[in-house]
Amino acid sequence: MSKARVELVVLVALLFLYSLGIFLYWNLGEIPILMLFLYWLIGTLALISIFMAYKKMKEEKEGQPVDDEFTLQIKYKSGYYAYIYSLYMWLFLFLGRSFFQDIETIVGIGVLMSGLIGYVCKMYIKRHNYEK
Amino acid sequence: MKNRIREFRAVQKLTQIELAKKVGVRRETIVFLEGDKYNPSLQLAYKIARVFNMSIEEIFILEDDIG
Repeated sequence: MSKARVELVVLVALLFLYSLGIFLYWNLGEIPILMLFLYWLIGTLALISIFMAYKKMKEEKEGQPVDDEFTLQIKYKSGYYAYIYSLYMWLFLFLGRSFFQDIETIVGIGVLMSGLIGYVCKMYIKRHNYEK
Repeated sequence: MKNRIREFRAVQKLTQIELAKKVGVRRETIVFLEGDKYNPSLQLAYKIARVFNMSIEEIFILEDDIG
């Protein structure tokens, strides 16, 4: 099985498990609005990831490689920036811990924000003159 | 670094995907190369030059040498 196809299968399986979890949680009681918003955001990001993985799978079928020297350099560079900004994000989350109800919320927001920071860094480096 | 990839690709009637396949990269890499937003590795520059049957200097121009 190709790399892009494996990525697609894993993403669809994860989204299915995630949806099942939300459904079960919903049956346990009412979900707060903030949490609902976070779940919606995670679901949307998962759908975007599935779309990207599907696109990559199609391109792989056309004979294009999944990664090349340019995409790998973008990944390395954005990975570096995402790491640095995530460190600051965790620091600010720690400093503002009194605003959150419990540790789970802080960890959940932190993980989600790390993903978002990674995505934003990748898009920024790709769009805004990579060489500079 | 400027390049004349778009120009030579048009002469040889190659699409971006066809050129990408010939040199073993993704189409988006060709898009960024043609937009002068990415400087290729020496290896990729050689492969591109080989496809066009030209020297690297004919395809890639150092900005200091322009004008």
